Amino acid sequence: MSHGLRRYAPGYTGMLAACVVAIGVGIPGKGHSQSLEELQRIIEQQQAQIEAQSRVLDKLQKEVEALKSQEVVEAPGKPGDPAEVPADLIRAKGGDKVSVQIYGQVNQALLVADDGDSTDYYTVDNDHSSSRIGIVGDAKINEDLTVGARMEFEYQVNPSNVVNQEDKQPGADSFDDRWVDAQLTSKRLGKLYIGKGDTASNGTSEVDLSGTAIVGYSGIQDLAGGILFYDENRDDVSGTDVGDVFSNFDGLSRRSRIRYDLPEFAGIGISGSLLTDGGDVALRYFAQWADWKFGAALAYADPQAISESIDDQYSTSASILHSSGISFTIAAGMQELEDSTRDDPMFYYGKIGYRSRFFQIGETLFSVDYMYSEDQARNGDEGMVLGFQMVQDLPEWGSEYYLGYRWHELDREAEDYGDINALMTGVRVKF
Amino acid sequence: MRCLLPAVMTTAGLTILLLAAGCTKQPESFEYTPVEEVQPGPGLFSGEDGVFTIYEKTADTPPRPSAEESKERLEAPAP
Repeated sequence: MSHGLRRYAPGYTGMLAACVVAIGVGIPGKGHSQSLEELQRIIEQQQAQIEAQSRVLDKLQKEVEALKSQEVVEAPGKPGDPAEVPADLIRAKGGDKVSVQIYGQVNQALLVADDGDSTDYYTVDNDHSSSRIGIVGDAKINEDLTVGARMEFEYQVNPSNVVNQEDKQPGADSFDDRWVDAQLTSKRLGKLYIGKGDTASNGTSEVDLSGTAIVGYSGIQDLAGGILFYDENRDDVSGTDVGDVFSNFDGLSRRSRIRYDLPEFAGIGISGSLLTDGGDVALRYFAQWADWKFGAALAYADPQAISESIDDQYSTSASILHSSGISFTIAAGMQELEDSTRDDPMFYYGKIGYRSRFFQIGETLFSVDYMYSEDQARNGDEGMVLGFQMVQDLPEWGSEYYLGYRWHELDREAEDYGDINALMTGVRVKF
Repeated sequence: MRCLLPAVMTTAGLTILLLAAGCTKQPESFEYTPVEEVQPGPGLFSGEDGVFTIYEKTADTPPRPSAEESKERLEAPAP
């Protein structure tokens, strides 16, 4: 456009000059000479103005061209692609490398439990891995630092570890904030968490590579933890349930805490967390080579923030999986109690598993497990569990179908409790 | 603590054994997902990823020039 104006400008001034000359020739004299000079001055002023406008237009055109080229670079992609969002808006939302994801699952099952006197069935939310929804995001600040946040909420209708003979549908649905957490990760210095989430020791009793943990692992109480032992002497249910007798002392669970993980070295991770009172430290090791995959964890916890009766708590577990599909898992834990009249409770646990692809649809996984516990609910209590688990993975459907069975026995002095047999079958559907 | 000793020794023994075995061939660490967490793998609705990525930007893009940079560029003589 400016080039057009510049081409046009000489013609315009030339015409004006011709008019001026014509006037000057037709009207001679001093007065006419003054008019001619005046006109020439006006023409020169107008010419200067036109040239100034032309320069401004040149600048504007260059700026428009520069903006057009930036739009091409910064907004590539298909319609609907997040990259179409203007770059300034992206940066304002959290940096040049940002990710926000939503995830979740529904895990529903049928639980059938027999206490030696009667058989009841329950529709439950499987507490081995409960129904939940979460959102997680992180933004890379620079080559070393990443800032992240995670919120995860569990919503359970009839949790499998709560229902029992006297309360088949616990009144209030269980709504729990599992994670409300901010995280700062440095490649060189490690990871810092603040908020509610896993304590360092959480999961240290539960390392399990069998793949059947959805329906059976060292957390025995997750399958039928609320079911009450039947007291044969009183001919009524007792006040002791499966969860009272078979805890796996799995650290401090998820709590509001400050947690720090050292940078991982050769698969070894060391972490610690600080609660309002007490805290914990944990050591983890995960590695794979050739045909083997191995994981182990060990933790010490000072559970002052969650219990006044426990002084110290120790937990450990290890699991190994061979490429043939065979796996072995062990776990153990104990507590030292404040009350000197109470014996320190303990447990140990073992599991053998096998996984193979018998069908095209996905892997089929089997395992058998065993737990022995002592002094957990009362001095002298001895508990024993035997179980069987089967899981059919259906990756095409984002689902797993499972079946688990457990036999629970409690020996208590001067009491006669019936054994509890529990069967659970259900499906976990991942969003 | 006495009753826990066998299990701790077994765990420690297995770890040492496998670490030693790892010395002959360099082991690789892997991402372990705790049993209670949502496991990796495809989802029914989300497909292969197993998660809905509602927002993601990973590619490095050249930053938009500031007003000062634009002015300098405009005032620079044409090549």
